[in-house]
Amino acid sequence: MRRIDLLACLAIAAAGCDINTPTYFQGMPLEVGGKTPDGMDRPSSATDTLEVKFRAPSASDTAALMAEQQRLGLQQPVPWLKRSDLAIEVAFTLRNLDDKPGIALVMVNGANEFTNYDVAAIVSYFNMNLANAQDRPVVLPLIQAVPVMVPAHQTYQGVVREDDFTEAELDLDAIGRYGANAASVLINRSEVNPIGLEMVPKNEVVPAMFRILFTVSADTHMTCDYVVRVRDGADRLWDSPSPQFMPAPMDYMPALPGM
Amino acid sequence: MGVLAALAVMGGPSRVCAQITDEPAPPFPDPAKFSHGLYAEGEVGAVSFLGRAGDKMSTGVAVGARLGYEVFRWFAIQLHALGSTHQGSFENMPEAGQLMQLYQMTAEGKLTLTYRRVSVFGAGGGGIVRMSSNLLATVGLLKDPTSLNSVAFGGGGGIDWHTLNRHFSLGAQIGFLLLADVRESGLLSTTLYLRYTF
Repeated sequence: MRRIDLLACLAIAAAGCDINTPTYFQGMPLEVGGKTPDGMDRPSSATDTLEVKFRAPSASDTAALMAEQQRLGLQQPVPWLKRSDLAIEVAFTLRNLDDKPGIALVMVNGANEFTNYDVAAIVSYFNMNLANAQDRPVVLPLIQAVPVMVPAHQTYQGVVREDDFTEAELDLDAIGRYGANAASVLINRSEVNPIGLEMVPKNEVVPAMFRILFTVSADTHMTCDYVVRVRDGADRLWDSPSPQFMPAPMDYMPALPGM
Repeated sequence: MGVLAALAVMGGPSRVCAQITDEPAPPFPDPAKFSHGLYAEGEVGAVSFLGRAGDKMSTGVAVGARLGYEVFRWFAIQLHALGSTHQGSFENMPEAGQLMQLYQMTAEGKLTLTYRRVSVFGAGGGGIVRMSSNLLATVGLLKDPTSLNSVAFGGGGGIDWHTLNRHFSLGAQIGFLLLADVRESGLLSTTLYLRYTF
């Protein structure tokens, strides 16, 4: 009995070591505004794509996902990367290198294993298909931070929180797999106003994002560093000997206005 | 008659015997009466990073324990576990403010010199330090960015004060561990402990 008690204590201690143990992924530094070394104007907006590597499901994992789908009675497959298992956060630092204050805007888009939501691609799609600029709708990002004013030669630190990702992941799934109106779900916070989520089953297993498109825009010369923090509650992050999960999500393209 | 009496006194034994009235005072306290052998310690204190990691991580609160065995009064072997939590102090970097925990697990040899109820000791050994996240990898301080473990070795010392209850003593200690897998970095721990010898 005493041996069992000791083993239980050791097991609890070992489990305690894994509580709140995030893994950090560093994004590429971004630079916007100002002039390039050869005197050209640098674009006022830049995007970096960061894909978090996860391990591929084994045959038994896949079977368990199918069994879970049947048990829940879902039409759509249960994702391998579940929102409930993966908590994502982005921390960023903006530096205004200019002699005047500037306003910066941070946006996050990305993909889950079923749907890729890329604002730049959607805007290009509208530009190609809608000749009249006035007909082109505004394309909203999955997550848009409040614009921040950064004084000259100063630094601003910000966070896109886990609960922002929780909401964005639900919106992305609703848009991608359940045909929700993007504007409706992206403008509204689901717990306050679930408009647009009518088609999403109540017992839906929401997929987590694995690809993050981090965009920064500014009206002065700024740089931005960011890290993505992932808390993995289900041992999904990739480790070198295991095969890597390589999903191929469908690009989301909205219906053209008036069609 | 008087002459006879004087001769009797003068001619008697000249030996003088001292009388012992008390035992010699024993040394107090006598360390030989303290418990000896298997012991356990609980400790609290602080752990600081030194070197390159010292610029990136704050000093953190630490809690730990030791389990040891005194082979002789002056030599012991012990297992040591110490956990501490730290906050990132990455100036102007997105990692600033992030938390990281450290778990030190080492095996040590310990030499002790005791006088009455006070002992001074020195200990040295090695083991593993595990980090709870790859925070230090984001600034290139981990030699292997995919590993959260580092081999560590070092030593330290301290002072122990016996409570006169034969099982309990209190003490303070300071130790340094060199982290072999964290570039040019080490750990400085300072703790107060309560020890129970079985």
